[in-house]
Amino acid sequence: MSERRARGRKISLRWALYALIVAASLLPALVLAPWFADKARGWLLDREMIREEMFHREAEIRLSLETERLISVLENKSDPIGWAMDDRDGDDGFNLLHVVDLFDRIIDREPMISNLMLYNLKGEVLASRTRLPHAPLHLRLDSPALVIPMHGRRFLGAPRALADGHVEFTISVPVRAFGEVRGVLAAAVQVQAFWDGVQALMPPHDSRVYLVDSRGALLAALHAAKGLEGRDAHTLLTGQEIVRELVAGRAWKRRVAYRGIEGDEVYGLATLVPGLKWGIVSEIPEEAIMHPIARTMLMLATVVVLLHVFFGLLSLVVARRLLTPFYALMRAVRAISEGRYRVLPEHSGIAEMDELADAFTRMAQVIGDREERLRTLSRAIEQAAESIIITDRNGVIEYMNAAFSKQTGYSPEEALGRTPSLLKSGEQDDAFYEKLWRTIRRGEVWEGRLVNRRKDGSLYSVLMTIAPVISDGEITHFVAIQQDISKQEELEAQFRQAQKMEALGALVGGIAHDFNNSLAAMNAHLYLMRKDAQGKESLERRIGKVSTLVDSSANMIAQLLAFARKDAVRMAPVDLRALAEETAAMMRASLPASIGLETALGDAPAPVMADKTQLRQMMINLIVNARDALEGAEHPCMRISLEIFDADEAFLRLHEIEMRGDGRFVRLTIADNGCGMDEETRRRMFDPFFTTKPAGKGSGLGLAMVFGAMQRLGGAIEVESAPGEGARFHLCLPLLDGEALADGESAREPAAREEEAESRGDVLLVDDREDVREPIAEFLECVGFRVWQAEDGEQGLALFDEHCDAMRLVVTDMVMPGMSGAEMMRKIRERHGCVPAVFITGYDPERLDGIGDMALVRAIGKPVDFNELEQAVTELLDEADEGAAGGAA
Amino acid sequence: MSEGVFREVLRAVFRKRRLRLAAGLLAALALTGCDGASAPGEAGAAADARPVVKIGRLICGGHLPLAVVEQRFQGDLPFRLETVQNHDWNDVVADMESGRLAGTFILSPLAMELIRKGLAAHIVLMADRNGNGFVLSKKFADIGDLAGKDAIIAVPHRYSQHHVLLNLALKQHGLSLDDITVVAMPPRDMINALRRGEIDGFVVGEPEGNKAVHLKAGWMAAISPGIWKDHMDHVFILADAFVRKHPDWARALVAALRKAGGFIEAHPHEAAVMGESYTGSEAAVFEQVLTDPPDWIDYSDMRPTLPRLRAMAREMVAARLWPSVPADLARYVDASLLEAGPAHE
Repeated sequence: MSERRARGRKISLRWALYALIVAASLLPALVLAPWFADKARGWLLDREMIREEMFHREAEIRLSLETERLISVLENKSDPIGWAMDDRDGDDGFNLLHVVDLFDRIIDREPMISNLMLYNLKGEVLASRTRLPHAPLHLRLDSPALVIPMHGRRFLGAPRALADGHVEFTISVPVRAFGEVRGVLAAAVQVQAFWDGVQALMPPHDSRVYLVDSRGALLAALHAAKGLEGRDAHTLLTGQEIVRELVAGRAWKRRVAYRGIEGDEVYGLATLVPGLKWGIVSEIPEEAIMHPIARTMLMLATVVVLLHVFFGLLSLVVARRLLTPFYALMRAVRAISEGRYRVLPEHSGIAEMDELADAFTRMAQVIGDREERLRTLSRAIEQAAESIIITDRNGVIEYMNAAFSKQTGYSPEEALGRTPSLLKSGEQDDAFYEKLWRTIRRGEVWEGRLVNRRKDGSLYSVLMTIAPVISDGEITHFVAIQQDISKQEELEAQFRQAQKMEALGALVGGIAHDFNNSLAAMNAHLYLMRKDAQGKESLERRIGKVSTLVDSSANMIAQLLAFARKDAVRMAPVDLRALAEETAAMMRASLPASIGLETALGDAPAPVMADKTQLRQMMINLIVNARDALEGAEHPCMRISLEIFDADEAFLRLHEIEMRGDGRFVRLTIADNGCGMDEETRRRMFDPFFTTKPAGKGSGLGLAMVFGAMQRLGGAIEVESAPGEGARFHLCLPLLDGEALADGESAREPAAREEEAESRGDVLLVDDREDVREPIAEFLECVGFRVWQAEDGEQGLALFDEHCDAMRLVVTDMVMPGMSGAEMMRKIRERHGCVPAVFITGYDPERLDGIGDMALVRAIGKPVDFNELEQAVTELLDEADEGAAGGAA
Repeated sequence: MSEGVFREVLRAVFRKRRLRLAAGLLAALALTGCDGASAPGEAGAAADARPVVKIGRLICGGHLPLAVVEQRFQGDLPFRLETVQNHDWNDVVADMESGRLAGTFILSPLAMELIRKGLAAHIVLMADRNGNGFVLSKKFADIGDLAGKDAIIAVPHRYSQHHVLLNLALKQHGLSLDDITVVAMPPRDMINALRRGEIDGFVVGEPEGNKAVHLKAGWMAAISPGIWKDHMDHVFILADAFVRKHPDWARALVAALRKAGGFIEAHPHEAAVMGESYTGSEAAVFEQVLTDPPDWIDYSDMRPTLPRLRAMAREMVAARLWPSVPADLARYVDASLLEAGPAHE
């Protein structure tokens, strides 16, 4: 709920800031304006009140003084009137003319007096004077205005309204003569005139002032009062609270507005006039107070508006200035949320914002680096060759990488949410898994091999490591890394096979070398014996059979050496297509007619670098094996095919072949539909002397020879076979270009040379085995050389030094105890120049170490082919002679 | 800053047409909570569409029930009561005779004199009993001192209970009206006249007497319960024409006035506050009259009875106001309106 509410309440920072500024600019005005207005009202009201109060004081004094003055006037005049009344002159008893004259003067002098009456003690009017248009003042005998003065007291009457609309009050004083009251002098004072007279004595005053009597009746107004027109002059104003207060004898000085006598809002002031008990009411129109306040309010409102506009504009600028870095920061945050951590917020020039931006940038960089590392880690996990899965603590798969899919065949949709038990193969029992779970639930790492089942049902071996993921001391997940070791196991098998073949090769090579030496000696002796037995037919026949057996043994030894890759081969470009065609044609004759032989060799040459003889032997071996496998087959058929292909990386890696040239290979396939081979046969078929043929029929060296030869040639052999499904042997060799083939063929033209009969000089023959040295010595002597024999290098060096002048040639074994043939030869040449040399070796003559840089050197293998030896000797001597001739010339 | 002051400011601002916009803005921002109701009095007057009945009165304590009805029990009336303050008794008489007033509170002797002379009205209620005082100048230590001093004593009206009481008071002190000079003077002028020495004392209805004492203009020589216990003071008369035309209104008015009398007795302080402008006296002063002594002025029994009327008539004869007691005095009173209304004593 609170989250939704939080989402719903989004406030724009820009508008919030602007609202704040507006409030800040308006609120003080809203507070200050009424405050100022209130203060101003107070000040103005005080001023007006004080002014009115001062006027009231003045008016009160003036009214009292004026009243006293009028009374004094009457009292002063009463004396002469009293004397006049006492001055009896005629029937009426007093001088009326004199009184009237006095009355006239009073009337003339005092405009507020409308009537002057002189009464005797009977209440009879003795004299009167009336100011027109006023009516005469008639007092009843019981009137206080008469009764009281008759008792010698002056009387000040209350105002009363007359029929003519005027309001008057009566002042009456006793008229005395000789200390006795003789009459009453009464004067009617017209209130408005009285008030006007008082006003005339006071400074001008323009406010609303009303004079009321003690009953609350209006006596006079200082101005032409609105709203009172048409009402009785002596109208009661007791409807007004201020007047009622006066009637109650209290002054009014309240600072509240009320609806005044003239109907508008006013502030009032009312005071009582001492003695008269009249009241003076001042009403100050609210308008008079509020007008300057309104004017001030207008000014204030104007200032507020202007300030608001100013601050509004200022706020926009400031807000923009303040918020720009905010928005930049927001953009940076957005960029970061999109994974772009290098977007830097611009510097704003505001210290705090820049500090924030810098801190943010640093944080973003740290987060970016961290995320990059996490991403790398994630990518590494995702792209790891090993399959990785992450499960929760219950084993439910939450994550799997691509390798897992590739390895198991399960897509994420199929595997996520399930447990790894979907891989169970049944190869491990329940106890195995229980132990596994116990281990990882203890927080320990489990590591081991197990066999799993792919989605397609096939099994595969893995090396698995399962580690618990611990967070805050509790296992939250498990991470399992499993490495498919099927390939590794295959490689290990291959490695073990290679080691076995290597060991066999070393063993066979050693045996073959010694056996070959023996055969070489036997061959040499047989050669000599055949020369000695010339003409002895039976002996020649036997020697011939022995020689055949020696050749057969030599052939077997040659195959063993080929398997051990220690045979003597002559590498040259060979057209495999032509060779295959030639061999197939040759073998056709030796195959039973029931066996069909098909060839699919094409027309294009397929040049390869190989020993042609060896290559032919390999084909013969395979064809013979196929022939044997076809025995008993219903429709025995053999097929020899040739195709050229581009080797891919997998092919090269599988057979550990280095890429050379353009990577094109030729595949020679010899296939049959014979009995085929089972797994065991396929696993051991290249072992020397392993054969499935009956005893005496196969030596078990054919496929071993092929295997070794293919290794030597830098090619590969692939076999496809299953019981009852025949077999297909693929010989794959790097393909040369066509020109190489042409050069090779021309180089292979043998040169025939006439045997020289005459002596051809001295030869140093060195070999540690006498049985080898003797036949060679005899042969060399036969071909015209004088032979000096030595058993080792030191002896040979000494002999050569001794007979160096006649020495034309050195024939030496390569490997000997002590000084080797090459070392000896090097020293001879150091002492005697470039003497030709023939090295005899039981190993590959082309791979002899230490003679690579020597000129006039030949190497031949054991057993020694005397023809080859003779050819080598002849060529060397010819070259030496040519060199000598060249040097002489 | 009070809201009222600011509203006054805005009212002033609104009087200026050119300021309406600014004032409106300020008002909208600041015074959204201000109400625009008019003053309660104005609203009440505007809403009260009942017919108006005018009743006369003077500034006199005896007329206090009228103030209480006007201010507190207006709701009990089928009409709106409007009191008319007259300047003096002459005005009251003139208004009654002219029919301007439906009724009035009036001095009981004056009422009897008016009826005797033919005014078409009846005494329907007594305003109060007692409630008068005799104030003397401080130059007299006792009422008896008035003898031979050519003293002038003022009464509100020649036909007033005060005149009767003055006569009795003088009698009680061995004097007669012949020993002094009686002068009629509006009560509102008495205190000032006493202060100025124009008169030597006065008999008047409260609170004027107590007020004179309060203002130190004189001293209270006697109060009416001490002169004539439970004498009739003011009475309430209704014009016969009004009663004939609106008998229900008349009954309701009489009932309301009796109810007001009961209220005054029960709540003297509140009644004194209500009557400030009716009595022309501060509430505290009049409250004292109402409470100390308790029988100084009594509103508890407002029933007009013939015996009381006869007693007053006899005293009027004694004071030489009437030559004799009229034989038809019973017709002066109409208690039927009172009988129909609820009793509040």
